[in-house]
Amino acid sequence: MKESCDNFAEMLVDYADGGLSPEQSTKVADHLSECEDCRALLNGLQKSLELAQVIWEDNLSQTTETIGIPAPGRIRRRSWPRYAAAAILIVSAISITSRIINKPAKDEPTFAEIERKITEAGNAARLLAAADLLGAYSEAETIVKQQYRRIVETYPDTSAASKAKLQVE
Amino acid sequence: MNEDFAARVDHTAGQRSSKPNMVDIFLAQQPRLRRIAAGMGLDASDVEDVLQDVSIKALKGPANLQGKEQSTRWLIRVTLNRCLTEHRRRRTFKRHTGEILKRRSQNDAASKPTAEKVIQAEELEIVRQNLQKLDDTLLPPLVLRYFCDLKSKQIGEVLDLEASTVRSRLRDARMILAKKLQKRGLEP
Ligand SMILES: [Zn+2]
Repeated sequence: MKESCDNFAEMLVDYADGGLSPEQSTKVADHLSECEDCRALLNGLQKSLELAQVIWEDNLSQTTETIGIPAPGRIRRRSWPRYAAAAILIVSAISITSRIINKPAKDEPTFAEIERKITEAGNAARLLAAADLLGAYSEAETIVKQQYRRIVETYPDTSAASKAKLQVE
Repeated sequence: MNEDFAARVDHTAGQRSSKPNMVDIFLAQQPRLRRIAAGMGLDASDVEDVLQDVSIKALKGPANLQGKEQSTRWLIRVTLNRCLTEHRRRRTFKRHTGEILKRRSQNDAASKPTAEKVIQAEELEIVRQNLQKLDDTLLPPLVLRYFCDLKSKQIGEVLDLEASTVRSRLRDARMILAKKLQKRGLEP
């Protein structure tokens, strides 16, 4: 690369994007005609962008075209949603109450079970919030009904399920 | 219809009628937000998670937003910030290059006879890895400009940057991707 190439490298991205003035563009084209390094860089700029677009398009094609409701089997399981905080309170309240009523029995829930219940309650609350949100739109009626039904069937023991049940009955 | 929700919406509408309806704007902008999240490299289920989080934030209604444009910018910003959290955890651009090429060849076979250039798996992999490594400050402008067709000025409005700063970040990002690709090409 010649020393002057640095000045042109600055302009190459804009040149590749067609963002230069005609005069600047001619200058760059003149340089390109006699500089192999800059031609190679321009080629790299174009090719890497094309490949990035392939990756982006592919990624987009894998997402669902729903209206804000996850497709079956795509419910979050990893991190806890915002609603999990409320769900934790609800679940802890349930488990404390049931201990008071039942006294400690040997079939106390394991930590894993409690964790599962919290996650389920969180998931269900999340789905319910989305369904409620979309319930305001008449064009989403069918999908919203399906969503309520799915909450009832998938998370029958959650408070979100009892609320969802009222919506489908 | 959920009674509480209906009541809340009516209440909100009555009280702040001059404010834009964020839920309407969210629904209208959803394809664009989905495109942004996919461009930021999130996989399908993470895209849905992000959109749900954003929808809930929109439902809660952010303060001090005036007009549709400002609200749209807010939605894009919230979406980008959620995506960046995933990006920092290196949970973006995870899809295997082989998988992308396979799906592509299937689609091509189904639609058009492949007149386009053959994509080299190794080159695609280099770009994927470097998108994954791209700095927090460089990835959002790159995605907004080259995958969502926003202009530098519009990107600046979303990211709260001068258009000249956006352009310089775009140049940096493009140069990184190009040079990594070139460097690899020179290696034996
Ligand atoms: Zn040169």
